Amino acid sequence: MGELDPVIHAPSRLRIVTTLNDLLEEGDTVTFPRLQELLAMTAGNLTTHLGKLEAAGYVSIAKAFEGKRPVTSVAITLEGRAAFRDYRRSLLELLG
Amino acid sequence: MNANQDTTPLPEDEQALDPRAMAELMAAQRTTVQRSQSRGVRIILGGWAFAWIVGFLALWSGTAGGNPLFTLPGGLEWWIFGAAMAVGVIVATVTGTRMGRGVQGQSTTAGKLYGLAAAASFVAMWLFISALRRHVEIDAETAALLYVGAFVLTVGVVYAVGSAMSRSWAQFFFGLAILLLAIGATLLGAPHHLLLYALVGGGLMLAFTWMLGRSVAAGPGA
Repeated sequence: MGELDPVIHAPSRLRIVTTLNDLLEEGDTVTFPRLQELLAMTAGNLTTHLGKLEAAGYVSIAKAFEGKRPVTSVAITLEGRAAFRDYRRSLLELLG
Repeated sequence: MNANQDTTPLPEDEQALDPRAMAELMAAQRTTVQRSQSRGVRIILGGWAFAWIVGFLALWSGTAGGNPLFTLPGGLEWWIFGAAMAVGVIVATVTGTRMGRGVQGQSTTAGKLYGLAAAASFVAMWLFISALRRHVEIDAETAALLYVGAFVLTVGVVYAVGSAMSRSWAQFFFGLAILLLAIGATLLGAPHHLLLYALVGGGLMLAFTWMLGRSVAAGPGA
């Protein structure tokens, strides 16, 4: 278990990283509400976990305005994809 | 999002589960994402299956020597065909737009270009044959085979080429099957080529829709 990345090795963050990795191509972003919908998480919970992933450099979060409406976009970084790939490999190795 | 204001305490899900449970969680989430993507594709294909079955059956039923049970009164078959195709276009446009909601970037640009290229191909094919008819005398039976055959060939090419974008062998073979259908139906000749397009074309779309649903239900694995 010690080999598993502790940033990803939490149920909610694993689901977030899995979603971003599968949903987005390189150079893509997803809006916060759409990500929340796919994860069925509360806004507060998602915000908290995204903050941890952003601090680790696994996701990038951008805030902008579309007209007067604030829009938050989330992307997975190359480092995040690599970390997810490593995590997945380690997890499957552990399971044999 | 209010990252700085949020004071929600971390829930129990901060606690990692055992590796098997985590792998199952990952697989379940991958299925959720895949299902959200494939649902739209299945709706679009279902719409086109409806359009082909109803539209081509109407054309077949309005052509002399076609449907042995009844013949649609003059011109009605084209109205039904046009309406069925319009339903296909509307379902595809609305669903395609909804599928991409919330996601922006290179993949959405690719999707828009793919959609525009497909639409341009259909129009160009139609104009090309119309231009050709200004120079070459084409009888009604040949025209019936040519216009519909060109339309179906374009559909096949659009799906087969689009498989490179979706990285789907299933879609590639589906496109090939549509191309073969165009050849087979043209070999069969008018007016029963229309029946083939309705039943085999619509059937292929329904089969592909069902297969997509099955592959999602089976899950992508961890």
